[in-house]
Amino acid sequence: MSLLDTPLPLCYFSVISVQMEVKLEILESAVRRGQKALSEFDSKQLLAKYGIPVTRETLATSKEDAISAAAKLGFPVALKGCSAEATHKTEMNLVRLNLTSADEVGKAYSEITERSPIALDGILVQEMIKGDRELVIGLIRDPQFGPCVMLGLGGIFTEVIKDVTFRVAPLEVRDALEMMQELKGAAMLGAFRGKEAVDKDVLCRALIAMGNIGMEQDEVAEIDVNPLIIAAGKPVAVDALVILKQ
Amino acid sequence: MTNKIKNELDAIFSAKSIAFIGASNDKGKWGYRTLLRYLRGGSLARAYPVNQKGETVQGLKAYPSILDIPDEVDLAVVTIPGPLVAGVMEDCVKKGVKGAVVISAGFAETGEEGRTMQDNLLRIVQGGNIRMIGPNCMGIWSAPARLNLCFDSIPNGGNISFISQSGTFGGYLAEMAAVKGYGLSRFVSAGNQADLNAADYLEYLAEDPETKAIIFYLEGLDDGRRFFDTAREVVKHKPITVYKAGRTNAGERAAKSHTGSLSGADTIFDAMCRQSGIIRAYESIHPFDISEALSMAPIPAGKRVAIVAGGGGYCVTTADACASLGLDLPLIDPETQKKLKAQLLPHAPWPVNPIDTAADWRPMTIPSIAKQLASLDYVDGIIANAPFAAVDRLRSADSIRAIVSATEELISIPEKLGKPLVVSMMRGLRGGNIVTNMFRSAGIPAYETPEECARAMYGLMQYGSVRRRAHLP
Repeated sequence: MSLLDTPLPLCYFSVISVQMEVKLEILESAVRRGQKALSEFDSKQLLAKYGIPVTRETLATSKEDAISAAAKLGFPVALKGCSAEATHKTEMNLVRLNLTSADEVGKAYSEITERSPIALDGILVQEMIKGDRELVIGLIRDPQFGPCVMLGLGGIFTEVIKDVTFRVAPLEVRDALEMMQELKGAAMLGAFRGKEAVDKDVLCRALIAMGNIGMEQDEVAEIDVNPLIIAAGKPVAVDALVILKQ
Repeated sequence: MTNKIKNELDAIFSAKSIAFIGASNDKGKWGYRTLLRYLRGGSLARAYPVNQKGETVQGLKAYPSILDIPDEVDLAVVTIPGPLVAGVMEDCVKKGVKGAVVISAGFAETGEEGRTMQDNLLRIVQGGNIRMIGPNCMGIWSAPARLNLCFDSIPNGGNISFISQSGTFGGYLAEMAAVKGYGLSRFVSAGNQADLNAADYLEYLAEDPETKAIIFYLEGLDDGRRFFDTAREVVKHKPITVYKAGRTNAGERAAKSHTGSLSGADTIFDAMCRQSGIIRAYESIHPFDISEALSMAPIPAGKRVAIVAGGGGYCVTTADACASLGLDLPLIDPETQKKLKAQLLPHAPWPVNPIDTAADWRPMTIPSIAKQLASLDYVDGIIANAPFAAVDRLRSADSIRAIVSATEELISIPEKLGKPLVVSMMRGLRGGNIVTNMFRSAGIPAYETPEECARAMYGLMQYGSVRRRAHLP
């Protein structure tokens, strides 16, 4: 009850709505090719179209491209083998983190491409986000209520801690704010051990956007954004997986 | 909501003329029990038994077919075997019947063949502009019209309406509520919901002047999205309390994502309740404890409770029950503490909250303290013992007068101070006496146990927060 009684700042009640009536080419071509999921790169492109902040990244198809992309992003960077089939990248040994020089990037590029067990679209060169908290946001389709959005404490412990909360889409601003207040670890979203509080406005927009994807993009079955890392108070999607309807 | 659903369901709940298709003198048949219940209910509608064999059924002239009835028919109550229902429904369409309550079973609940029969029946009623409750239901009850198709004993009239997806168990819950003295306005055993479904009933009850609190017993929702959207609007002016039975296995969802594996069906249902403002109860009879209060008491502005009762055990039990439901028990300020202390017997504990009057024999002590507590700006609702519930054991007119005056003082609180009062009787609630009657007619929710009182107050305070939330921009 306390959560419902907490007054919400008026600034949160501006209308936030992303209208994406148009069919997205990323989804259409993935469906045409019979893909079960989108690659990390394409998943984030979809999220970004809905205004969800994602890591800055480039899909490189040559070692030279990868090195120049890394230089543009600024070191350190992460390299990830990118494919719609790479749903478990770490287990498939497709990830190299904290690469601090052009040499390291070149070496990592060769390793990933040579040892990959699957065909890759390319190598994702990604900025390293130094965050202090990890959240998870997601989308599922419930047989009774349709698309539902999840927010939880994220990272590798998500399924152990199980501190998650759901709302039926489309979300109002109030729904998104209540989700944040409803987590057992809600205090983790506030100012924490000298770290800035999570920017609720950005997180709120991201949650609403997840619901809108569910309402507007029928081909999307489920989405995991895990982790959504909080860096200097700002949430950024560091990994994402969009699963398509079969 | 549209006037359409109001007109359609009014034609059922306030039918002026009713055909009982399958009415029987055979005590082993539904057609016997349903008509008997109707007659016991005391409805003033005209009743026409339809039975191919008999000339009279339970003293009423019977007709071989609904088409032989020399009167308009608003409502058909059907108790014949399932395979015969479609045929008589076609007659009902010809007769211009507006509503049907199909008690007959053997439809979608039995399998594929039954499902086909039900689809066929649905086509007939939809084509003939009949709204249908059921099939495979246990009937309905409507207090304003005294229309009883389901209860063996007649419940108290009141302002709670109850829609149940379970027939037998739903009827049993309604009777349990009646035994507890709660007042029922409408009851629908919704059966297979081939035509009218949970969202339709919700739309109707939202605008029904006889309904002040709505209860659903749900097992699953065919159109969850519409129920959710409707509930979200309805809670702004009427409280909805739901008991949800059956927790479907989360494994049924073919989850490929982490999000999917974390979203059991019950998790989503729970989220839907919070989001829409539905109050969720976790034991089947609890919605009635809650809705009794919601149907009559003022809605509190916060969640701070003050308790005044005679006896430490009662006080601590009530306080525990309130705290475990997330209600706050504010400490009484020092100045008021001193003022109250002076009014208590010397051996009573220091009054902080709960306030223990400790075997005080003076009937006016509890009402007087309750009133002072209710006037504190940091108290939103009061739970108090009734002055002396076993008033019928008293032998002196003066003692009875004193109890009646004390009760009068207590029941004046909600109206004077605009805050809810929930009273505990502990004994004497069942059967009724002058005190229980006074509470009932003043619209004061009265319960037997501390836990019921706490639950009622929780419901009021929870609904208060739902309403405040709805008023935000």
